[in-house]
Amino acid sequence: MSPPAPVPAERWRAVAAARHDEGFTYLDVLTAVDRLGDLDVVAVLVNPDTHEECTLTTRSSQGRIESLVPVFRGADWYEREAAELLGIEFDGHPDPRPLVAPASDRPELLKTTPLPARQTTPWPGAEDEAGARRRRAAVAPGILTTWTQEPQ
Amino acid sequence: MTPPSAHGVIALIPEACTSCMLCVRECPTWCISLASHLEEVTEPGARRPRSVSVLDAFAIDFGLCMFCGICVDVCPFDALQWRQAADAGSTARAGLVHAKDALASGPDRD
Repeated sequence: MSPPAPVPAERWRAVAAARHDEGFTYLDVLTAVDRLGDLDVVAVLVNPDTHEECTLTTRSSQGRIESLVPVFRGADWYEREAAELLGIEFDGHPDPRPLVAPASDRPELLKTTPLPARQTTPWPGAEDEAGARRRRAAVAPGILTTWTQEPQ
Repeated sequence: MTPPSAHGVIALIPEACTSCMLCVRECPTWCISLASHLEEVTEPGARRPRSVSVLDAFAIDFGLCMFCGICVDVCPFDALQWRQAADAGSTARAGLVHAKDALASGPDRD
């Protein structure tokens, strides 16, 4: 994957369309990233003739971004998956139904969604006898103190 | 025969391990467990004994391991390495947990 080129949110579809017209006509993957408070969207476009790759990324505005489906038909299911698992709304998506998982209270892949198994499983990275002198934090990375069992 | 493109398995060089536990903490699937203790080593002529970490037990649960290689990347002492060998299968879930001896280094990749 080539280094992602940042695109302002309001130009997301326009820039993708411009890349499409330059020859990047194949959408390899579109996904989203939870930056703990911000949701970024990443799209990898490929030129099927030259095999060049172009990666675009943008920051959604409060979880909303333009849908790329009018430019890339292949974005359809990727956007449905990102909407379902990360809670992003894609404006202009023709068929925003859940695609992947059974219905749940909250987007499953958001970092703020608790993983009950991780909360109850003892972390092997916690102190051991030799580590008692290291004074490391005994909390696994990725487990947030804001996790609760009840939906908010 | 393992094709060269296969990811192989992860091997441990116990002599290089200092029990720093970086691999244990960084593993995304929590599949590595490590136990160690401190020993005092007195050397002739030294003013005071020094403390050394001694590795007691090390195990990787290959039922959880996703072969991402983060442990290999993060080990500051190169005690974890890729090894060109087929994944050892097992007829029981517990058989997928490979302890120190099973992880001992064999022929390396490349």
